[in-house]
Amino acid sequence: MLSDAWRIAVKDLTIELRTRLLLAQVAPFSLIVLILFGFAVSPDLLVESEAARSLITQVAPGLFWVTILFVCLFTINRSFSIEARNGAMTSLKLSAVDASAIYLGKVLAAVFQLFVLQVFLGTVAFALYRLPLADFGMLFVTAIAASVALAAIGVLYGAVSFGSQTPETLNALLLLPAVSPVMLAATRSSEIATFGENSVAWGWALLLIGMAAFYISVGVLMFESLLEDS
Amino acid sequence: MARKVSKGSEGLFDAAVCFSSVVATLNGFPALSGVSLEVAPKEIVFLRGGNGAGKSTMLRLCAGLIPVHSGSARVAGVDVSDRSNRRLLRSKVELLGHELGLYEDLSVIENLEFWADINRVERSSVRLALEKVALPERTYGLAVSELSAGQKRRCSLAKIIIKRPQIWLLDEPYAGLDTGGVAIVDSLITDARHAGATCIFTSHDQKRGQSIADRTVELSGGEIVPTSTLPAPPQKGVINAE
Amino acid sequence: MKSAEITSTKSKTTTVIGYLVVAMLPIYLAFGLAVAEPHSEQGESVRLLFVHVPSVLVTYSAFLVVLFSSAMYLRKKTPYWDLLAGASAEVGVVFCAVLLFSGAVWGRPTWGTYWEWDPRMTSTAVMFISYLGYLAVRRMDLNPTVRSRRAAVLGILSFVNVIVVHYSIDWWRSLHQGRTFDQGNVQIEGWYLFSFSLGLAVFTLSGLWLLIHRFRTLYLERQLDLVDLDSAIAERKSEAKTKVSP
Repeated sequence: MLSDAWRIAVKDLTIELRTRLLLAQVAPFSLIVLILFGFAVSPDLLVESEAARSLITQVAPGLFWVTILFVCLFTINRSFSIEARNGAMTSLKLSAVDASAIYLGKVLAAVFQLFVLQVFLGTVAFALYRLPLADFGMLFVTAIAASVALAAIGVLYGAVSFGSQTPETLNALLLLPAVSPVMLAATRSSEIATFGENSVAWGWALLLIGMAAFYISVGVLMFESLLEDS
Repeated sequence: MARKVSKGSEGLFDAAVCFSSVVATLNGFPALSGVSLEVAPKEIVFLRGGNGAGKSTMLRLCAGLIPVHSGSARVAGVDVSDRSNRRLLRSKVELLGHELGLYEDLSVIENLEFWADINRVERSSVRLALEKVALPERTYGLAVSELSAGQKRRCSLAKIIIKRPQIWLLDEPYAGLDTGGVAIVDSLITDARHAGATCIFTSHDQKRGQSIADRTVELSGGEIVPTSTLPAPPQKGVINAE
Repeated sequence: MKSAEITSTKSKTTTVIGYLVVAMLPIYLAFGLAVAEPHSEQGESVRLLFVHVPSVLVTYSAFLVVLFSSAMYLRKKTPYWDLLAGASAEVGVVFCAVLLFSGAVWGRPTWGTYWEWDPRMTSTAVMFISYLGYLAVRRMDLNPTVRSRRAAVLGILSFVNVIVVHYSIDWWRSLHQGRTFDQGNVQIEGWYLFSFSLGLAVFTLSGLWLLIHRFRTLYLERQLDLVDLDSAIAERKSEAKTKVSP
């Protein structure tokens, strides 16, 4: 099962390497979102106003994770649109792979893509919003755990709206409420990692890991019911 | 080889395909309105009928891709409506539909090697299959999106050769193929029978269909037209009466 | 409930429930609005709790029914569980709207704002939207069997939101009232307890009344689809007979 999952992940990533949809379109898109957020929060960014600076620094983790939610939405939509084209999903279903292998493979590919984009956007955010960095280790764990949790939930919900007439909008409606706890935990955890205030320290990161593990297991168990046509 | 001992088979003999008053709906429309049909193992059946007669629906239903609304359908001894047997069924059938089932952004060889991998087939079979469908070697490394429509069809045919199913379900296999391609489809179908497989195919080319098939079955309005008006019943098909 | 008997959305049970609600409503209003004294701290706005808290319980129960029927549908594959899940989600969404609205109205005099970024309020809004998403999936243009199965999976997944709402005040320190029966600044006793229990009864019964009617409506719609299908099959068959093969 795991080798099948690996093959499906490699296949998804190869397609991404060929088409560069995420790199060439989603990455620049998320960049402009990050810039516009900063601009909207403090339009007087140009005038070296201390108040504006501290405001944008405070809300930076939240802005970052909302941007990542958009990225997640695009990643999941892409993950399923390549299977919708030419009836590729039917082909997968007619093959010898388990539904759970399809699930894990798609999650793996999405985790990789989300993580790469988080590293890219994170670097930009630190420079753009002039953030300090208190705990790199925690930030790293947060990014990994959040990527896994977002991908696990995303692929699960992506399959719910697969085959609908308007999969993109339906997926947005279903996915955003579902990932909101992940967004909250990731925001809190990266706030702590960035500013170093030590209220619950690793609690939020652990919560993220827990959510990732929970949704991965649910996905492995339930994906078959979502995938079957009859 | 096509005759597998099926668990809990009700019939006197193991048909490759056994439909009994099957009704299937597509968005509330009864695409199949009560199909009863038996296909013997190793039989080649030409399924004909006008547009919207239910041919594609019937083939998709054989592969477990459409729910059975009522009636019973067994394919290769497996109850199609039983989800717990779905993997067993899928290992025995393969459908070549209107959709190619290929990733446009991957190369021909990448597509087929992925297909071989996920069907637990040796990758060496990919080259053999490509030779059988006579795709020129220079196309192997091309992305599927760069192929012509006929070449895509051939690539799609290669998938079914790689999988070697017991039951071949071919929906318009001749569509978009040149004369060479058409001859290849014919030889694939007869080769498959020699290897013990059963084949159901559809086509709008009456003559070609009838020349290769053991039996012609006509669908109209979602059901089988009575055989009296059609050519002779199966002769070459092997029926094991026990 | 025997399937063949259903010909209308009305039933003996709903009639009884309906009259009970009508009979209880004036007493509930009288006690809730007049007999119960204004609260020492919250004043008149305490009366909103007689609406707010029962609607919480009905919302929770409705979503619990969605969870249970969805699981049963995946096990038994009988369409009735699917219909029950759908009917219950609709009832839950309605009461959840009441809950959010009454909460906002209560928040205005108590906290000085209609909306406070309180974990429970926010997570309740998220829960509300996630069940709207569930209802959107139930209207998806897919084969009914596939749609029902996907809805069932989603019906189970969505319950995570209910758990988040319930424990949000424990997980985050918040300004929301604690769970009413455990702690909090309003002691439920005397006429408060009576009005409150009446509210609970009225809300539960009207929720049940809605649930049964919606279930029966969905059931009849399904029957209608099946009748339509029968005639469509007959029509399709006649199409076969009249058409001359090419």
